[in-house]
Amino acid sequence: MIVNVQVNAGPFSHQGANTAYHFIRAALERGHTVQRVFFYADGVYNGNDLTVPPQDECHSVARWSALAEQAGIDLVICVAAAQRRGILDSEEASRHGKLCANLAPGFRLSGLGQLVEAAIDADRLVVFNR
Amino acid sequence: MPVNNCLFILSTPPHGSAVAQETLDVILMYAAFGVPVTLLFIGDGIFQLKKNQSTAPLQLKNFSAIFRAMKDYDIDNVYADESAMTARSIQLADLLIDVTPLDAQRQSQLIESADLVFNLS
Repeated sequence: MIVNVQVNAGPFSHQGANTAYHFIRAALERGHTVQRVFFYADGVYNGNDLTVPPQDECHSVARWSALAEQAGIDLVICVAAAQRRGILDSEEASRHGKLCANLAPGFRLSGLGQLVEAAIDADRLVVFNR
Repeated sequence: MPVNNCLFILSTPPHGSAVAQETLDVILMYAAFGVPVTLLFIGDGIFQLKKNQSTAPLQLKNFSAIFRAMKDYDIDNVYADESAMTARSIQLADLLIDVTPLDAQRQSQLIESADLVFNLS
């Protein structure tokens, strides 16, 4: 089954993104396909490369990047939600005259159309809110 | 998965969180892809549809006008929890667009018949 995922929760304040990660790992282990994770609303903070948690805590941003590399999952961050919250790739950063870009490896910025496409292409779209 | 009917449940007031505004963007995108969209307003979500919203004193964007554009996106199926309207003394005439009030049983039927149920809150 193709299971795509939408994450609306940030990496720290709520459990949703953590649950989404473990859900995806479990789905992959059961032989399902996860093509894309779409990050929306506060979920865009999961792609903030400036996140530096204490060493004895899970580095959830690095964990997403590793998942993208290992499993070939397309991690898409909503560009409009990201700009509001200060998550920029190098192209957006230079376009807006900002000194630094902070999109973590393995993520890319794109539009909401990618969410609709992920829903249409999948057998299930599972949404994690908080 | 052919998405023939996407139901959005809107349960938050228009301001106080970004949920209403960001859900609206998702709704319009699904509609732009030609996915049939149904809206169900429950709880404080009904406040999103109130006429005469004034957001300027709060320096917030008034996005309520977007609801008037729903018809251009072929979004005609708009429902509301009738008990939520009653509890908040909201009449149909207070609302920006045409809404069909539903009782709890009809709402559960609506949810059951949807291919995709979206609730950002």
